[in-house]
Amino acid sequence: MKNTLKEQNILDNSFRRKLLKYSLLGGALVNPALNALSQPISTKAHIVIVGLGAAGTAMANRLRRQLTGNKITLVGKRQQHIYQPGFTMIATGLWSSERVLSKTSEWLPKGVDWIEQDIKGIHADKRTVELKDGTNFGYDILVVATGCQLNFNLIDGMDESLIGQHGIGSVYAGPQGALETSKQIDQFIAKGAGKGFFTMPTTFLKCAGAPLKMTFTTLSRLEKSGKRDAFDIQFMTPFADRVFTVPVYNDFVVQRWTEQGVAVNYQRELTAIDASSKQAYFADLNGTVFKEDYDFIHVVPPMSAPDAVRHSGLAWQDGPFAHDWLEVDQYTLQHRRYPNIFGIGDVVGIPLGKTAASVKLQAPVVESNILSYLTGAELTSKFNGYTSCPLITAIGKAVLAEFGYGNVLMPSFGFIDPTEESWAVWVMEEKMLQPAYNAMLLGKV
Amino acid sequence: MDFISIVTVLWFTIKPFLLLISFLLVSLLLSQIIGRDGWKQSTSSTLWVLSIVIAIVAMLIAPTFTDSELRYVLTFVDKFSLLAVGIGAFVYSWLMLRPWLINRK
Repeated sequence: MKNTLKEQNILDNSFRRKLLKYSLLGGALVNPALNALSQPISTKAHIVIVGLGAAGTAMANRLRRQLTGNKITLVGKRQQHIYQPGFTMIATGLWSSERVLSKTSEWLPKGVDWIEQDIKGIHADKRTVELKDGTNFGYDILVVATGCQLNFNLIDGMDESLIGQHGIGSVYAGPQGALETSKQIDQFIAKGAGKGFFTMPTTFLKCAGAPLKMTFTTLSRLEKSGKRDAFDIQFMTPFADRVFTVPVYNDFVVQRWTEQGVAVNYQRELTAIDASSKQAYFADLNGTVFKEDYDFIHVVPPMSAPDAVRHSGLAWQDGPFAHDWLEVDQYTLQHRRYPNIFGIGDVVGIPLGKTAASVKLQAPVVESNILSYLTGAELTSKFNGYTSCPLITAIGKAVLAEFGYGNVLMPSFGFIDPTEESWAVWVMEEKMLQPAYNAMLLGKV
Repeated sequence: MDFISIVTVLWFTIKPFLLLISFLLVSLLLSQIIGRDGWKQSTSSTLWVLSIVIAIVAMLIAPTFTDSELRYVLTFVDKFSLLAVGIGAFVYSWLMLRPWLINRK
């Protein structure tokens, strides 16, 4: 009986191996992109990647590996690579600002050109990119990976230079801004009592969980100080009924804040700040303005694609992303009007996907679709909207929120409940997310 | 995440600690080589007690090492991870000390 089973297993394994072999062969024959993925393809197409953040760097590494005989040019002046998911840790007082910095050159593959300038514009009809110094140069395929632009100036009286003064903080304002935010929170707590506001804009924003995380971690610090009851903490959301897009996480956060004594105020958009008198102005949907005194305010700026992209004619012309975000197909990430342009990362106008984790899933899609485009094949790779956010609910625990288009939960690990607070998820955020990010930059995952 | 991706991420995670891991492994190896005669003797009860104490201490301080707290070890995965830390600390300390904590006649 044992022998029979063993023989059966051998037969099964042999059959499986043959099936796999023929499936891959068949797949490669019918899908040029898959075929191309298995071996570098030769091309003369000049590929230009605009932006040196997570998305641009990952694409450079992936495309350089997959293509031979062509020129790949990276455009961007940033000398330091910044690990943005670490800003929350800096603003929470756990990390130094240096921990998120590294040299851009460390992550770039050999065999790519780097133009150390930002762009002034893109002329898609002429297939050229214009640099800040006015130089124009051509491309065959353009990958727009510029990231997004923080528009603090859309809040009257607000300027990025105010972060770290007058009780103003913002986790989004770079490593130094995050550090200054942490110091402002320390000063707020040291007062022994006061009023703190946490805001959110109406625009799409990168790492939409960050405003929530900052609220939770500040609550942790207040509770640790033993004076939580002396502080009035309020969250101001411009939306009528939510603080987060995905209902299950929205309900969880609101419920938790109710338990922790945080007032959630709906329809409150931060429109102006008087920093010297520590007053903030919020408007509701009818335009009625409410003035609030504050001791600390966490400002989340309105965001958009950089002006160079917005004013290049590549932004959406209508709909929720109109004039602000790059117009791409939400599945293929190919520009809807210029097929030789692809978008990736925070700059794209799609319903979800403005996190580093999204880039991890977008990069292979864009890579595969560019290879398909080069070989004249149909673009078959599709981005499913995957967005991941280890939602810190206190300093030391987090929920691994993973979801995609339609707000469908997409847990990566079957053994981790996507709705449970966990120390293990916190460890992933604190210790493993940056290594995973680094692997992604190099195109390894 | 597929298996290869998980292994890749784990590799990138331990890369900064390779020196420490090497030090721990070399220490263990040296302990075994230098004290190899100790394996011929029976173990002392101190070995077991000390290994258990080290395991418990490791479990108690593991959350602190990650800027967390023991009270946040909440889920099954959390508890399993903490137990793995304890078992790892027990096995390492037991193997490290085994050649030395023996019943001497």
